[in-house]
Amino acid sequence: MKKLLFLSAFVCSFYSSVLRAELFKAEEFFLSNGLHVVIVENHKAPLVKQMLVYKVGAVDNLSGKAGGAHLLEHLMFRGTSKVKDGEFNRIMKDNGAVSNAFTSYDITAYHQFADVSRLEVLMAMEADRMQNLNFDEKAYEAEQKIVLQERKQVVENNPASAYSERLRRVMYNDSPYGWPITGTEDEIRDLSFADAMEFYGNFYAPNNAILVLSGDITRAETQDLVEKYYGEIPAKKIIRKPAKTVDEIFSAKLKMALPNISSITFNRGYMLPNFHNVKGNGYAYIVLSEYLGGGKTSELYKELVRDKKLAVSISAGYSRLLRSNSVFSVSASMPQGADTELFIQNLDEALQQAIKSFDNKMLEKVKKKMLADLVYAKDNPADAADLLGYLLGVGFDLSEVQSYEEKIMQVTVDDVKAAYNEVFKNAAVVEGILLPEETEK
Amino acid sequence: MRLYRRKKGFFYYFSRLLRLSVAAVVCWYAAETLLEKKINTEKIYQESAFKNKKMNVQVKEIEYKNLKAYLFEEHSNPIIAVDFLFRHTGYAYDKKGKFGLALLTAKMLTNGAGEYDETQFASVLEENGIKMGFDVNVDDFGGSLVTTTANADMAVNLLRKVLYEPKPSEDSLSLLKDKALLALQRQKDHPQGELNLLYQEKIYQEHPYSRNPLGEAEDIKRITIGDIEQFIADNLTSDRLIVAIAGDVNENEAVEMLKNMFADLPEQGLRQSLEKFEVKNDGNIVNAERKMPQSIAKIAANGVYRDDKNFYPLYMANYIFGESGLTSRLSKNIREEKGLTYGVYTYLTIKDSAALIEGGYSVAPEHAKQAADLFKAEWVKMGENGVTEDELRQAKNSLIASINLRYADIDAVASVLLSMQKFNLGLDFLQKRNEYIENVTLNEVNNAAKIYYGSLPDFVTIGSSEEK
Repeated sequence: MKKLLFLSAFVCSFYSSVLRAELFKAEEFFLSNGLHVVIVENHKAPLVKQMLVYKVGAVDNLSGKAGGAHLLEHLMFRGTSKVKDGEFNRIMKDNGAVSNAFTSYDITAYHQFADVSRLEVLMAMEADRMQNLNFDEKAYEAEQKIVLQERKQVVENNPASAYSERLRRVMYNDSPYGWPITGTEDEIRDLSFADAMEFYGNFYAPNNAILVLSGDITRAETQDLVEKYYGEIPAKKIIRKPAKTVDEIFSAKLKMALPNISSITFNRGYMLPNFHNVKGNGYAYIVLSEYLGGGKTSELYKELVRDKKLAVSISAGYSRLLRSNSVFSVSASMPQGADTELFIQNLDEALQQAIKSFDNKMLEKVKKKMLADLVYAKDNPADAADLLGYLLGVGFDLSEVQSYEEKIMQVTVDDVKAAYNEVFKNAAVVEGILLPEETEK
Repeated sequence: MRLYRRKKGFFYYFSRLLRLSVAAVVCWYAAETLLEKKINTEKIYQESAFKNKKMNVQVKEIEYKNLKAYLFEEHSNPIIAVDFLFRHTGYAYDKKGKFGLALLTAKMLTNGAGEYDETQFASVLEENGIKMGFDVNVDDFGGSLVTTTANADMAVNLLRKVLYEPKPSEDSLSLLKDKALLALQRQKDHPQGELNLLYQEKIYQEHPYSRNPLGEAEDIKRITIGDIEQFIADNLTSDRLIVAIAGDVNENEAVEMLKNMFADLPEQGLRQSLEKFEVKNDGNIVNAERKMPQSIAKIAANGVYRDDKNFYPLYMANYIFGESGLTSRLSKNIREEKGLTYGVYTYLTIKDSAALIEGGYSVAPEHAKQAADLFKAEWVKMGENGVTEDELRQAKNSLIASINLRYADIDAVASVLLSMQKFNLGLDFLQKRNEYIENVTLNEVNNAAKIYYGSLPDFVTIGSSEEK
């Protein structure tokens, strides 16, 4: 007892200055087949979200077969050797589950949100399609058509996407990160049944996946069940094509005038290494983006929108969600006819001015605003599953995500200034301007 | 000999039968599980230990003088959400020449109040984790406040400043107008935005529901600070107020909040009403001709109000028809089997003065006619034959099983409490809701289907009408 007291006193005094609340009440463990499992407790309501993330995405498509990972994601709903076509969706519906999936560049995720009483059903169904995918030619062809329609609805029918897809291409050159996730229409048509099964066979395995369960559960209640449903699925040797590096980044500008566009969109992407390899403190880049362009109180908004009225909206962001690299971005919108050259000139001045006046007081203000609403992340159990699934899927450790608050608190003024120099002085920058056709004439 | 021969009586046959049937069941079960042909999800559910986890729902009504609110206590997270509405003050009530005023007022409210200017107000909210926002829909003017328990007093105080010491400045208004005008321009940047406007215009015609939710550019330019102050005086009054409070707050604290937030509102404002609207519902198709990669469509037919005896029956019919995602009849036929669309759906819309079945889909231009024909054929089939016992059972199972999903977000809970008051669903609605669903009969559903799917909906589409 004495020893314990001593130990806890020691631990308290040692950590009290740095220890901060973890983001979620979460635990992790691994099954012997390699499945990485994270359990998040949230007991507000008898609900659970199951999120199964495969560490494979659109970048793993072969050249000319962009869209393969995404088409497979659709086919995962088309039946297994135990579940007929149409049954997966019906069973989800019968159990009141909201079920969906998405494909990004680095991950493919399958997720359901339901009453916790249905958790075992969700696990049985998800584990089944990890190993028993089986659909017929007819289902394949219908799904291929649906994906073509998806591309038409989400991309082709949206005039601005002609710009955003080209801007991506400029940013990433020939890397798969520059290809559209859906693939082009021709690529979708050229994909075959065999391509889908090969991709499935290569990458869908427990040792290439992360299972997040978040909701009214404990590890004690859940661990044996995870073992029961997922434990016997054999691991596979995962062979990837050589790592996806983005090695030919250069500065470039893209200006496009399009019909059916009525206002001006400005984008700048500063291309940086992956979050974990970025120079200095990665969290300083997040703080910097909040300081410069996080909402109405940010420096760029005050200067360029409120005072100089050169744009109607402006924002800055720092994306750490790619395995390959990270991007610091500045975006703005302006009405038709606005002077983009004048805006850009003032933007560059505003950026320099902002970092010059950045001091400890400013830093504390930004930190306060960033941390004040962290408590809301604990509200909806689905949010925790989404965030952890995504971040762990692109290479973050659970402990790192959990210590977000501490990591932000450790950022110093010098860290932020160093990050500023990396972004605005050293990084390659890709700039895009989309404007209505008329103003070009 | 005879003595030793036992009569093969009841027990003999019974035990043999029992043994045989046990053996048969064992064999069948062994075959099923050994060959692993199927996943018995019903059995998995019935045997799951998680089956006993239940939601404890209690909604209370609290009062302070003439003010009332619904309260839902949830203490596991230190968060409180307040949702409120001023009824019959939405954009459909904007006066001629002032289209856009309600929305502009909603957005102006958080642009400075009391001693704070716009930026200072935004700072104090974000540095204290307080979220406050106002918005309008066609019928109502709504507000929401989300705060940590620790900052609840401050949050209430800030809302008081907004309601009782609004400070609309010329500078803020002019910036907000620029934003509104840009949003108006951008509305048509996507064909779906354009379709929404065309649909409203063609379906609602002369009714105020036909208006652009963002207002009219010329009107917006002319709106003054005086207009905004007048709007507040006329509309933000307690005679039309509905309030919901959810989260980490007890009854006494909630009453105190209710009082501090709203007790000083003027008691009476301008009374306004709209005429009831009915859609033509005769299968008319309006197409705006355009060469696009995909044609897009919206449909409308008359539906039912929330207090109509046909509400639950039609709700079930429509759920089976087009609201149950990929398992709906529309999705199964037009998407899953034929691959013609990425999405096809219908839903019930209930506004104060219109109750509709609405829906939509997208389709490649060369299949636009085929998709419209399939949609109509499913519609007619629903009107003529209704649904089957199996379909109804599945729909009930799904809706009953998903009841707790509404408790995922504390602010979503608050908005459920608002709807319960707006539609007079009763304090015990959440406890009773599954019964309401369970009690709907096949007959009731099919009668409602006959009435509301009896004539074809009206279509508004954008795309090429050329056939393949």
